[in-house]
Amino acid sequence: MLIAVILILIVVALVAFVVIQRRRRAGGIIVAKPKRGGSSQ
Amino acid sequence: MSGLLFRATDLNGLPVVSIDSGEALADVKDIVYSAEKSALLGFTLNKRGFLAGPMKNVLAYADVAAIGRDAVMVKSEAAVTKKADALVAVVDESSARNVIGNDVLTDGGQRLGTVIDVVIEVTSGDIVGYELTGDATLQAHAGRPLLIPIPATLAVSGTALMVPAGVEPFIRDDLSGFGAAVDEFRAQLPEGA
Repeated sequence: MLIAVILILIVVALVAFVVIQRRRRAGGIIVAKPKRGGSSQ
Repeated sequence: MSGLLFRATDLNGLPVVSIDSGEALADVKDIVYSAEKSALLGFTLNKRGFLAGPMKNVLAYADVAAIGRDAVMVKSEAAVTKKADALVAVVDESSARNVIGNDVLTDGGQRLGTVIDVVIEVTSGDIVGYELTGDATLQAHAGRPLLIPIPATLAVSGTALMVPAGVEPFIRDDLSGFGAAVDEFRAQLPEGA
């Protein structure tokens, strides 16, 4: 039982780590929306 | 164009360092620019540290002291802690508008390719060109990306970026010499283009 709980905790920690790293690295190049006229992209 | 040219993706992940304290304050996350003005507006930031996430604050280009190959320098910590409301508003309404993957079309209706990067002149903050993959007939060397200069003002339409049809002779495949190509390209454009 204890081993199962520990394994679940490890999996949850790994998933959280991967999610955080993906959010951190998701850098991009954002083009600002035109103020007026033109069209949305 | 004598300034230093960088690809925007080279700036992703660079530390933001305070000149006053020498401390790294944040990491660069997104590069934010205006296509209308062809100008760098600023950066969104990640907190530093192994498990840290994105920061709410942004760094306006006006608060940047210098951009180098290894760091973005700011005068003091205030540059990343003060409220840059105008830029925050731009980021909020434009956060889904990542330019990577957008098509580039000439005003003559030719598709030049797909954006893989943006070229920035970091001393002035001018956006001077796009790096594309695409039309093999435009490549001087097979397999190399295309660097196309852009005018000082640029139309954005739908999911495509528009450039003048006369851009073809000024396409390069290397950043060295690209600054001169940008100057020549802009010099031959009609006034106000």
